[in-house]
Amino acid sequence: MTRPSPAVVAVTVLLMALAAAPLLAAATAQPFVLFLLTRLMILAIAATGLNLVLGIGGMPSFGHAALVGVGAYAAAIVALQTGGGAWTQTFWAVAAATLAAFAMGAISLRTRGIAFILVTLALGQMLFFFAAALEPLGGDDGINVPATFAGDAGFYYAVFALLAAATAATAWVRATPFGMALRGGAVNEDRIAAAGIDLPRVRLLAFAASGAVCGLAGALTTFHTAFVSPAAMGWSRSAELVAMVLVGGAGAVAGPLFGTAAFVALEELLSGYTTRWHLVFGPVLVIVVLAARGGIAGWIDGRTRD
Amino acid sequence: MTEPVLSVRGMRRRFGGVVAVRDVDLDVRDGEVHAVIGANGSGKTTLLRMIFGEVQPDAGRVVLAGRDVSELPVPARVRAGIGRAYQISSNFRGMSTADNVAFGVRAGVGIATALLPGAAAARHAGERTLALLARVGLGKRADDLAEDLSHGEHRQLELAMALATGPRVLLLDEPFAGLGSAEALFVRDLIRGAGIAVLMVEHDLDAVFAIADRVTVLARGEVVASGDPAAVRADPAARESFGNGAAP
Ligand SMILES: Nc1ncnc2c1ncn2[C@@H]1O[C@H](COP(=O)(O)OP(=O)(O)OP(=O)(O)O)[C@@H](O)[C@H]1O
Ligand SMILES: [Mg+2]
Repeated sequence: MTRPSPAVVAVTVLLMALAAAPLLAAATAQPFVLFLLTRLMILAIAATGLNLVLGIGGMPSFGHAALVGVGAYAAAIVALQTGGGAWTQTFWAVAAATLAAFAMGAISLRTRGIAFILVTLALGQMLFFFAAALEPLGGDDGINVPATFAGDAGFYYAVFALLAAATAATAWVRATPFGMALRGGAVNEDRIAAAGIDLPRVRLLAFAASGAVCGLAGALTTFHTAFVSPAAMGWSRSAELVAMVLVGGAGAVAGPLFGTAAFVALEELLSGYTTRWHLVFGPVLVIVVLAARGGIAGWIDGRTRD
Repeated sequence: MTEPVLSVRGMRRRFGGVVAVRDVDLDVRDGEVHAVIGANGSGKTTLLRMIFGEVQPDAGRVVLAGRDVSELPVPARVRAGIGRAYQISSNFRGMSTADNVAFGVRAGVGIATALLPGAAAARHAGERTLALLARVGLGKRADDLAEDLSHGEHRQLELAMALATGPRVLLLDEPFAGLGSAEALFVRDLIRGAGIAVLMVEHDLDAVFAIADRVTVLARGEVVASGDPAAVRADPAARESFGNGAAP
């Protein structure tokens, strides 16, 4: 690697802006902005998890929102049943989502292409229906969870630090032999096998690691909203995560943050006009993907590469 | 007689009504270039793919240096010592030439142990990668994207990628396809100079008879002649199978 690409510079600027935001929010007395930015950053962490599988590994999972949900529910269950604190909640959220992702990967990675999309989608829906059937946890309606962090500025910075770490980890993993094998496998599986690399194992590890990151995002969601519900686990939420990764730039280090920022910005802009704002997001997605194959990150870099 | 590095016994495969490969036996000895020739569709590529593990045979065994590898998947066969270059260059065009070769080098090191970019294992892999590139004549192209290489350079890269895993036997599918005569000479020297057992499939009979220590002729999936080049050249059954004017 030589000089940082424009997209890396842009993501650094974006992260710096996020770091400064609480000062601005305090000055302008707009706490709502912080709530929104926290949500954005948590979504970006989840998208970073998906980026490892979808963007870098070329595996189009449509079940990742369910993995975020597993983390969210695990954190909620720990808080409700044992009164465990943030560390315990986070630990179990990450553990449960890693395990769920491992199982999802072990089953879905036997397939390719459309079948892979359908299998991940179906497994995600299974988890969704399972959560909806948890009557003690409110079933369909979800349930309130004791607040771990009550509107704490420290929480904002914790989420920020985790997002920065996840982004840095993506840059690091991409350059390791593990990341290279994952990227190579997305282009040509046979050549990776011919290099003596056990690609299915590499992919399964990536899937589990991706689940861990999504589980973390799930725990953060529970901390942030003090509420869990199956609504956040369905396939349409998974599709939104996929859209964020693609719009931001699949596989790019900066992609998840760009994509999530675009998504949240559009949501804020458009939901003022129409509750069916997703109808606009779809065409925007198509335009971005057609106009700049590398997404926003690729567009900023002024070129696209596969 | 030295033990063969690669022994193939009773290889067979049918696709629907077509028997692509029928009961083929084959030995490749250390340092020997063994060429398989035959008309289009005679089963050469299928045979190579079965030896490598990409196509499952209906019957037959593959033994590498005394070890039966017939049940192993492709990556395990590669780690056991079988290398393969492809008929159509299909390397990673968006990656650098060095990164393409590094895949195979690092797989030998172990993908997990080489996880840290600055680790000694990674440095060692980097040195080996550059040495391999220099060996195939791409020493100056290490940092260039593979997509910027010429056709001949792609062949050189193919060879470096195949050698990267440190194979005991190298499987080559038409390494001379589409090469100019100067490039062909260079590739010929590379193959000869590799110093390991080579099993190659080739259409260019001039190249085959210039380079091979042993030639096997396939026709409709069956071995019709096998032996040293001069004997095969003289064999009427082999001559017949070369077909329309391609006879040596
Ligand atoms: N995957 C497949 N499915 C069906 N038929 C196949 C398949 N692969 C090969 N065949 C058939 O098997 C026979 C042998 O094909 P193969 O590609 O091994 O020949 P070849 O000697 O390599 O030919 P060429 O000189 O054209 O490369 C052909 O009749 C071919 O059509
Ligand atoms: Mg062929």
